[in-house]
Amino acid sequence: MSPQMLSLLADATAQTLTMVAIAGTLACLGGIPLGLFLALCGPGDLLPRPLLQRSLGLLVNATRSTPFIILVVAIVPLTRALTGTSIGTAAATVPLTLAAIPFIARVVETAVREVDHGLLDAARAMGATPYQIVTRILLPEARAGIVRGLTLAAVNLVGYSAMVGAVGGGGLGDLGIRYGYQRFMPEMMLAVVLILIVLVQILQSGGEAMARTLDKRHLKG
Amino acid sequence: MAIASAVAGSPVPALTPPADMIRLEGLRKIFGAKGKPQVTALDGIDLAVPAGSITAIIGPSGAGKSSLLRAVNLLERPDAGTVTVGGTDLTALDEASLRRARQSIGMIFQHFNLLANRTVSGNVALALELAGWQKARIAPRVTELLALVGLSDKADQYPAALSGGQKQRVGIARALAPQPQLLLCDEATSALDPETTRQILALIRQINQQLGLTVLLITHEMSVVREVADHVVVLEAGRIVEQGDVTRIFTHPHHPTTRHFLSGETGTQLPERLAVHVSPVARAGDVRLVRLHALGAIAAGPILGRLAEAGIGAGLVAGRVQPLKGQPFTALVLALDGSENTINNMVTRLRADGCDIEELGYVAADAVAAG
Ligand SMILES: Nc1ncnc2c1ncn2[C@@H]1O[C@H](COP(=O)(O)OP(=O)(O)OP(=O)(O)O)[C@@H](O)[C@H]1O
Ligand SMILES: [Mg+2]
Repeated sequence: MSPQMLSLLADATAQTLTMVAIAGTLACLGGIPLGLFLALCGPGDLLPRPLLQRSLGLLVNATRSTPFIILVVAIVPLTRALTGTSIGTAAATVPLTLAAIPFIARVVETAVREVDHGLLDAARAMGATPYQIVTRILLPEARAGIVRGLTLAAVNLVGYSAMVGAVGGGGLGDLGIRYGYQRFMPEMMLAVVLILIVLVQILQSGGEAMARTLDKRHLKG
Repeated sequence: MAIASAVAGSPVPALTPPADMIRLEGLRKIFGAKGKPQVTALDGIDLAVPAGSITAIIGPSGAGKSSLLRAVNLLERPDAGTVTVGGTDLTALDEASLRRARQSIGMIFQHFNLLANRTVSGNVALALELAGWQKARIAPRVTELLALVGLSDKADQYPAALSGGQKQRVGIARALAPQPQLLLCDEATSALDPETTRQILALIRQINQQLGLTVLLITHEMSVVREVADHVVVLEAGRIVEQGDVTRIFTHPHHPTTRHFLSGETGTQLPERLAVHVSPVARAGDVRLVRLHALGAIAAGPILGRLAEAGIGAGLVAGRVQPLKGQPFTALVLALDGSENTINNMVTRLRADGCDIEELGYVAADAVAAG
């Protein structure tokens, strides 16, 4: 493999990592609070705001059921307004973030809802405020589940970031399509796929290891 | 005002603690969302729980025991009625005052409800953090509590590494941490084996005596009542059907539900093979079945002796002698064989001596013998 190809691969990997990191961070900032809201504000929950909760739930579902590639095209005006362009790595982070927010929201919601209801009874019986219940009971007890969900989101982001390559988003997907497919360089395609596999592996096992250290629910041998 | 009088040197008037730690008046609780059938879980409950006592609520499944207990700290707000704890009407408090009031009411649960991601000491500390204790005071208090419940060596373990009994000890330490006046126990031993149950009950007794803590517990096991309770409240279909001192309830139960629970605990349920043959009137060759409860001196041996002296044949059908409040408590089902008159006289005399005798009916002598 030529030095040029290697440097192309290195650049593309860096672009992919940047997209995933930026979109992932932004999506966490939006998705975690949204997930908490969904988990806490439904009818009969700790802080009921049923109407708003239901509306946001519908919005989340709508975004999640839009195929990613359609989302990318559909929000081009928004992307332009935010980044000044609709192609390239910066532009690609906009749809990536937007797609990851509802996903993260749902995994956070699920993790929080899975906390044993008896703990809420115990907390209320101890005179906890709703804020204390969230910060001292729900979040610490849900943290392993949240980390597992975020790992899943990061892995999905790697996959989606390869897709934005198809619309000029840069990164490994872009490289694979332009060199591997259009210029028919199978070794380039292979290298791209291998790097993606390794990235996903690292994310998955890193996330799982972190979740396991955080999770004290089971005895570990 | 207390400060002013202390400065002036005059004695601060001693606050007389209310004789009743809990007063429930006219409690009603109805469950059921719109359109669904409604369930009346509590149907007009009036109850006073004396300070310093251990009061047990017993009743069949669905009787409303949990609803009643959860009404005491307003985890479940009743639809009507008042809940007064330590002299304060909780139903009249705003949210913030209610939260403060809850810190003087400890609660333990059937499934312990410990935080899996906090260590044993972290779980106990949580109660103090929530109650706003200063950091520096929390650690020594936690150490003291773990010593009290016998878990000093488990301080840094996570709940997953504990047995059920140890988890409940953590639950007790957590409940006691902010120095409550009242401990509520919702089936606290129902998930434990008999030996562990006995240890936890002994701990609850010890706490009650050492700290003067009032305990209100619910259970569906009469053995729990026998081992710890001073007072018993029998609940059925959302109403109190009987209540009283534990000795009175065991020796002279009134309500059929109480009798039913008791016969399970004392092993004096009529065996099925006899129950089907029981007749309310005597036929030729029948013996008379009675259930007898007696406490203390008038225990099993002397009773059988007296029956024999009077010429009454007494077949032992079922029964047990168990400790109750430190005295032997005898519960027997006897098949009495003799003339109606002699038996009637003997029943009257035994009742006069404090025995509780319940007529169960008549059954053929050979049916008893066959068993
Ligand atoms: N949150 C609830 N929603 C609807 N119905 C309820 C609720 N809680 C209790 N009930 C109903 O109220 C009645 C009393 O329930 P409760 O849990 O107080 O009974 P219990 O005596 O504690 O029973 P068990 O011994 O089975 O725990 C039952 O019929 C139950 O189905
Ligand atoms: Mg119950």
